[in-house]
Amino acid sequence: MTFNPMDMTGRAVLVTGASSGLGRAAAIALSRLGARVFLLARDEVRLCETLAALEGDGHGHLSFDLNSVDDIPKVMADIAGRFSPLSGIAHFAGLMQTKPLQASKPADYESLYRVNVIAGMQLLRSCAARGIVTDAGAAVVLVGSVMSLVASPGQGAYAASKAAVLGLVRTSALELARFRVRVNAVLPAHVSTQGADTSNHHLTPEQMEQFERKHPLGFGRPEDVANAAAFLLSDASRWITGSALTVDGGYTAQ
Amino acid sequence: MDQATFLGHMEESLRAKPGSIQMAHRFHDLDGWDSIGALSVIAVIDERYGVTMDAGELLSCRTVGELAGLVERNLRKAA
Repeated sequence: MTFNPMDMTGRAVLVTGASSGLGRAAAIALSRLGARVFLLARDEVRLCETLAALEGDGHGHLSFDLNSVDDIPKVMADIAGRFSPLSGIAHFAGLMQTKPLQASKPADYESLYRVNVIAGMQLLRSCAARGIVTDAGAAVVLVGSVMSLVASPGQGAYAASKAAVLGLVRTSALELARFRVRVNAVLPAHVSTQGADTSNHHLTPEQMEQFERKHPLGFGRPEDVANAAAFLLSDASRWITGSALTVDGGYTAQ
Repeated sequence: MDQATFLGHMEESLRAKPGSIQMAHRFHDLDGWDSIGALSVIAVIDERYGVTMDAGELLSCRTVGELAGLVERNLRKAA
């Protein structure tokens, strides 16, 4: 048998935002590592497409809008009860927006903050409740961005929410260590997905080329981020908590 | 104030097994009792009973029962 420190056999992992993009890629990667994956997202049809793409058996799914942040504790209790106590949670659901400061409204900031930060906080809170994660502990991955660290014009709401993710990750890593729950972030740069492409529709082809040149290794693929998240969810990272892993093709190295 | 409900709130804030915390238990002997545990208890008492207390008041209670008594006295004062 081949040694695989990222083996996830028998682990139950919740993936939010699993209907598309990075979340879908993460769900697929985790299933290939042997995990039983529970998919959460709004769109039932696309959730079922992800479900069909998973390897192995015993997966689950639920159509749920994470904007309903007050309902998250109940949903987590249901998932733990009906599916399994969790060994991992990957919060890929999130919103992107490009809008200059003078066009931004409080509601823009609030809507990004709600899904990117508050939904993540509610998922983390559930780890402090009894019976949601396994007694052996769990790993949680939140999704930041290179915009957690550096800036780009028009990214105010997005960058502010993604910087907040880092504060949340560090604080909850300290508070949840007592329950053997690790909390980390992945910080991707541009990955070509439908969501990211829609958010960059204002760029001309020349501007997109220029943007890609800022990534020394070029734009990423969803699997690049999915594999990094899988690493942080697996025992290969058992001594890593409160950290942020940039997965950016060199974007922030310059 | 219902005692079983109060104990349930203590168990919830310390992630203890339902039924595992008794009024006679000393806080220092409880699993998970540390500064974060104390803050969780202060938060749950504020949320469930509308009683605001500081860490000093909480730490003056040696047992769970003493805390329940303190919360009750505060509730009576407010009534």
